[in-house]
Amino acid sequence: MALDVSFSVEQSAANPGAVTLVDTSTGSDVAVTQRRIYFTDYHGNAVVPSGTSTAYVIWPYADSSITVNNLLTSDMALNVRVDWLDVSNVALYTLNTNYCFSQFNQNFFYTLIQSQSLTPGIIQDANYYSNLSIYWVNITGAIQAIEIGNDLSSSQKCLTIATNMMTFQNDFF
Amino acid sequence: MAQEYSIAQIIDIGEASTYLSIIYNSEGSLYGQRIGAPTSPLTIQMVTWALNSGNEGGGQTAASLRGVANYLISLCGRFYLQATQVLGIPGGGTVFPVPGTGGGTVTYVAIELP
Repeated sequence: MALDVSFSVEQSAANPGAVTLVDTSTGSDVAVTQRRIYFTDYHGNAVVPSGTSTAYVIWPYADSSITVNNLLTSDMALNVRVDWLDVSNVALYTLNTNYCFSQFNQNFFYTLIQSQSLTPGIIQDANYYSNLSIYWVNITGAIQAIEIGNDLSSSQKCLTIATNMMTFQNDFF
Repeated sequence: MAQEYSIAQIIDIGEASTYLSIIYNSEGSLYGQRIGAPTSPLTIQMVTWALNSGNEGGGQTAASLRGVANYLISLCGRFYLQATQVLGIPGGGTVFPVPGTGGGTVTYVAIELP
């Protein structure tokens, strides 16, 4: 029976720098002995956890899931490719999908709303509300760019704007 | 006793309140804007989105989510009850009518007028 490959990807809310992949493939192929994960940004650059010397992350075939820690330091739109290889490092199956990792900004947006709930009058402050709206639109835009448009570059641009607003939060909020 | 809505139910109420407030704000525009400050659908939508994000992500405490959910309910304001009706969410508890047990006796007294 051939292997019908598939996987899911999730960014942790509690630890946004970590990304978890779950192999949801069905079927089997005795020739497959290993897996590799490639994270690539919109420039085509490989993204790997610090200290990794290869352009990929090894995903032991015995493990159905893997959590790649310290992959991200800020939100990024990435192409995630998983290769299923044989013992000679030949890729027998490959699958890639674009993902928008926006949890850093989602967490910060939640914190802003939480603060707003404690001091509702803040929405009357000059520029706060318009900046909050711009921030929200960029996060949702980044997500939609991938989900609807499958557009890595546009998603990353929106995330960069949002991340910039989070970095300089004292100027915007 | 009235039940406490779940976070997921309040998110649904927020989503419904968003479009209900949009429709409300658009009414009465023939003779100019409404005099009263309109409820902002954008604010409701942003808070709903944040609550959904926090709820799905699993990184927030229950107390924190409940606080934001209460804020969302306050923002929904007049559309809150309408939203629960639209969504078919039972709310406000149940009132059981208490049947009469014995009934009172009405006594008529004839008074002779002078």
